[in-house]
Amino acid sequence: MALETDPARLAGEHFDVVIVGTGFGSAFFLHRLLRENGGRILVLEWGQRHDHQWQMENEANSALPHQDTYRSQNPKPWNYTIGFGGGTNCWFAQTPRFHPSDFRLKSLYGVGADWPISYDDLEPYYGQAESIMSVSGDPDMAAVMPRSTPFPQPAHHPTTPDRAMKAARPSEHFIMPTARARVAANGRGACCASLRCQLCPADAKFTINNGMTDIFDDPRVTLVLGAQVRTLEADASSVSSAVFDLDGKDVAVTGDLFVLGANAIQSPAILKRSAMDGPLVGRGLHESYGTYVEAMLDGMDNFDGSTITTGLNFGLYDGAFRSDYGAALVYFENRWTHGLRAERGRHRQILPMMIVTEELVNDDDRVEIDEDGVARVHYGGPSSYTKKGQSEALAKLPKLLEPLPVEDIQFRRERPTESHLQGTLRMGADPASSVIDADMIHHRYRNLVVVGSSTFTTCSCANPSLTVAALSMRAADRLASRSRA
Amino acid sequence: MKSELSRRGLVVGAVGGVAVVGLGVSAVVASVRSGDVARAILHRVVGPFRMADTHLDAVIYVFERREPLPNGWKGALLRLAEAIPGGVAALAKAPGPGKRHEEIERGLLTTFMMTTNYLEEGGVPAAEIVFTGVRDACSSPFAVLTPP
Repeated sequence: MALETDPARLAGEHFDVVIVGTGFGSAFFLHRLLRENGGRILVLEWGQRHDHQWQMENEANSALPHQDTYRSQNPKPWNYTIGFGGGTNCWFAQTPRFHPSDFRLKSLYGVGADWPISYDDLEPYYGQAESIMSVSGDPDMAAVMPRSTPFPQPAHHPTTPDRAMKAARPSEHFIMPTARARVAANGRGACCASLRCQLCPADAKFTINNGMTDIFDDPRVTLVLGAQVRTLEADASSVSSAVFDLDGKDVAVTGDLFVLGANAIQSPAILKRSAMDGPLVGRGLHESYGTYVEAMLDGMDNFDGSTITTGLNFGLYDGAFRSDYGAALVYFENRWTHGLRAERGRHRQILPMMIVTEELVNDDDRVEIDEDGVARVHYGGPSSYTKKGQSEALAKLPKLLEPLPVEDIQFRRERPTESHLQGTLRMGADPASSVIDADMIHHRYRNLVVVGSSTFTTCSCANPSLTVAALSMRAADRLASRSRA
Repeated sequence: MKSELSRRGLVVGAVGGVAVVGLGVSAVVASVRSGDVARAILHRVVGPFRMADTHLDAVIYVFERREPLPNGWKGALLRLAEAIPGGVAALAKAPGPGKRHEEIERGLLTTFMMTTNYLEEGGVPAAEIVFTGVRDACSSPFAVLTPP
């Protein structure tokens, strides 16, 4: 890995590509970029590199506490990792694709917006990203999310409730797709249900650290750790340089192409510090809304699956109701979130679930910068659309769970966050309602590509990371095609 | 014979009685340790098991690192609920304490199952249950990990 630590050697240097960040968005873009010539590439990462051993010993994903990197007037946490590999360190490796309807919310249901690309546009890149991450999955999911390539790994072992649900509802209930390895591959061990994915003791989930360091070893790539990008400098239509702090010194480098993949809080903050603001920069911070629910089962044991979450149910996902309230995904858990059941001899006769509903994007929820240039979050709370989605999902849950011997369903509590910050530099066809175009290029600054979940047009219920990776690979592919043309 | 008590005598007697009862209750409350509550709960929800106090204390220690058990009046209330017939059912109906009690009993049960050899011994009452420690990796004893 070509690490550069000396500010003096970097100052004034010119690169063909300057990439900000090393998480899903930036790394998958780089991966695809390196298949082309790519030229001389500089990658700037704010945090340090903490390998698996360091993370386990320190019970942390990074030495830089993320909560110190933004301010907020609202107690809601926004979780991310500042460090080499970004969100690949702290994620739980759930990898559902977005539902085809997620890309056409406005056309189909009259709410939200349409993405400027379709599921079909993204489908080949979903497959490529799944291949890199060695994703395990259920082939039957193709009924809902069509696929041109098989899952790289077989599905995880389902729980007894999953098997009953799948038998009764084969077109709705699937074994969870995940980058927690089902079988050992590419240097990663198989997931053995340690049930603590944020710091996986078996190192079984895909991370940049265990699955993608080779791209940073490429001789064309120079990686700078501890480099906090302060500003980009631009004229009316293009970016010319990046200024970052390294060891307390401001360093400026020039470039031909810039790729902004910090995260949905830090990326807009960089643009705002750079006076590259616009009416929608930083607007629309959002994530899906989750709750914990638990079903008491009569005579059926749970927890015999092979990974932390084994089932994903789409029975409440799509339909005309999305005009009125949010879609819901129901996650079937193979962990005892609320403890084992206390009744003697029935300790495993419970089914913990998460219900996650989609959210509508609200421009009032936003990222600004304060007088110190630090990102400041303004967030007003979940909308009535997503809350109604939750209450409707809870009301429909008894019917959805009919294949199981359910005695009782109990609402447990709201989840404070899904750790999926999204939507502050949205993708769209119209510059009046979006920041970047369908190729993820800034509408105004035509040599600036934005990657990461900040680009999401709307808020799917599904976990975002696989989609971030696929979008990045598509963006790099489109750029390469354009260059060749 | 009809007993005649003065009003003053009644008051003195009542105060004295309350004081004695109060001292007694206070003594009982003070003597209730969180470990007693934990033992009572575990024996009820798990069933009979044999375990040395030092090993059970280790289980309780692991649980309390995350969530201290109530002591004092709250501990006494829980101990009382465990001791009298119908006590736990009555406590469960009280929204606040009932929810808290459920969290404690489920948390304790889970800690017990995950940090001892109870599951390996198959729940046989005669087996000697020992504290085996907290497992970080591959920690679910129920997971089926057979290769596909």
